[in-house]
Amino acid sequence: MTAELETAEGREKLRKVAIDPVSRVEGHGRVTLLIDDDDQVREARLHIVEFRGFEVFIQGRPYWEVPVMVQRLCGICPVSHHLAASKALDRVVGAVPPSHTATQLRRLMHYGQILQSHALHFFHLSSPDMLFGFEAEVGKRNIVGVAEAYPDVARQGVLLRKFGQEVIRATAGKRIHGTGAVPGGMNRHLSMVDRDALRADADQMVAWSQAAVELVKRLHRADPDLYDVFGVFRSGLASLVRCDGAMDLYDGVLRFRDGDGRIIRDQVPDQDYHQVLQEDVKSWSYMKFPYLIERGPELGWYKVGPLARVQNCDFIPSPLAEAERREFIDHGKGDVVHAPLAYHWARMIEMLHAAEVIRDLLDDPACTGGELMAQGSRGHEGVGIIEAPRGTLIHHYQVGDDDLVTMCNLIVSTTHNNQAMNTAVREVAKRYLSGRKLTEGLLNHIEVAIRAFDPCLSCATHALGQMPLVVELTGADGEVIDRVVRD
Amino acid sequence: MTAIPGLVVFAIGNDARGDDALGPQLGARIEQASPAGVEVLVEYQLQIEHALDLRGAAAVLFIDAAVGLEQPFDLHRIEPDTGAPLLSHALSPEVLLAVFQRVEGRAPPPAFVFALQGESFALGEPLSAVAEHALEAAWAWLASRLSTAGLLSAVGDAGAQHQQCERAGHDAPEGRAHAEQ
Repeated sequence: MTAELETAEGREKLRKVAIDPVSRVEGHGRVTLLIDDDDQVREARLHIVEFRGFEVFIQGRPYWEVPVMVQRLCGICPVSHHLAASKALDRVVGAVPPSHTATQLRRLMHYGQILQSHALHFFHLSSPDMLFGFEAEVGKRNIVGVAEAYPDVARQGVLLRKFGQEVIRATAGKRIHGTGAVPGGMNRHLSMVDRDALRADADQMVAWSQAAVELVKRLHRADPDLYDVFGVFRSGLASLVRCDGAMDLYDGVLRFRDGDGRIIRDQVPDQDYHQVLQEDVKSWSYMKFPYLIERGPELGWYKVGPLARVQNCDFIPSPLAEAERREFIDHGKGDVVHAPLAYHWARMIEMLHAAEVIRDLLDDPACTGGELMAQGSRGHEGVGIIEAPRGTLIHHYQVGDDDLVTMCNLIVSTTHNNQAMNTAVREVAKRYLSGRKLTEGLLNHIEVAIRAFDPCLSCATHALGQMPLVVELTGADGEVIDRVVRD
Repeated sequence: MTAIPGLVVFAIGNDARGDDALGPQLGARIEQASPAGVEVLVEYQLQIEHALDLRGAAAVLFIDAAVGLEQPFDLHRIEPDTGAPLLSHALSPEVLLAVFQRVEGRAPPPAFVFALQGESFALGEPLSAVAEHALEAAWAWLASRLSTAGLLSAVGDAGAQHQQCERAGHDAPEGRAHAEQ
């Protein structure tokens, strides 16, 4: 399946359609389709501008700067990078494990990040497609359209985002460029004022998250032929799980399943990730393609993120989300749910879990008092793995005796999902685009498939005047036949 | 959010990305000057929840780097855009106003975009010479106009000022303010 539609024969004779950049995903993405004279799609590729440059940017910096610097990677999930870097560098300062208070505060920050990111994705980026259909007029497929038709949904989405951001501010110190986590622990407690303010809203957030799960379930029930079939393909699953198999988005061991749901690797310590994972390179993409070494690049690729996590764990350790997980698993009727649109359902289950975890952590006295820092023997290397909103995020550093970073390797969730997203694009292109006249609505099908993975393509700039969507139809001679720009 | 209605300034950009730092750098200058009634929010990108930061504001100013600008800076009034599709995870200022309008059920406060000329957005680079010049010119012009009345006056006067420049056969020597609405 991986090679089909990856590279066409006689490419120079085919027409090329570029979707550049993909809209409503972070950063810059580009889809190219090669189409023959009969309008059959012969090749489909998702190209991503990755931030390999950031790893070089980090090298040579003092290690204690890194948890703050890496937040500049991403405007959407800076906290995930902040915490993954801090976890990795705990090893360098010998804080293994960090104090209970530091762990609980970081956990609170992280679940705030999960909540706000998932709320953004569902209510802002994906719900327009899901509520109005993929071929609805462009002007309706946005959050304003959602707000007009579903005012409560839109308002709750905004307030859930705001709550998650407030959790981050209360634990990290600032809305962006937070400094809460440091190598070795945390540098602040949660204040009682912030604790009380957040706690007052926490039950409401749980209730709204439950309503969001219900909304997604309703959409699935209303059109199972679409939701269970659109862009579907079989692949492995990967994520962290807690040692006892529970879902844990902050810490744990790596677990891998094959496409049929069988566990093929479990209990892999985070420090050993490089012994089980390798990254493949393809000549046409800047972004690498990770795979499980023992299965090879053809079979060893996998999905990460909510759809993988909800099915990779044995249970979710919060009651409401666990009940929803069971219903989700039942939906698969004994098989793994692979449909890309089920990412949204799984994402909302995770949002509910995050809301429950936040509520419970706010009642934990460890967040408002206790030892913040731990220390031990100085080390020179550390790996920090965290389940970021979009999937497994790996930070790996080596640090010299002079405290400067000598090596930095980052594998972000979008890289883990690279092969999966490309496969989804090809499946959709094959099913919906081949043999049909291309329209904006049909091209949006491709984008819907990509958006299900919620890719964070790179921390691009967002200066005014950037980020139009350009669709170009190019003839075999390279001449642009048609061009559409969305701005 | 301040209790007193005032001017909310969003300084937008990533300070690790070359000229994208124009917004945060100008925001830092405003914060340092601490003009009365002005609240500065430095953000990477605009998101839906930022609509809630407009509650109680008398006016809002969005400061951001811009590509394709032919002068060092540009100030203009903006209105909610209820029809534009959203691109990426980030909102345009006009769409943020539309989100406010829908969520709050009322018109947003008067809003302005102050765009600064940028040309290079590479990782880890400092401001380009063009951006450095834009920053200095923008601050020199904006510092005395940082209030709701100052901004309204600036866009109100701009049409006449711009017409005068054109009659004289030359453009404004530095940045430009114009009233779009």
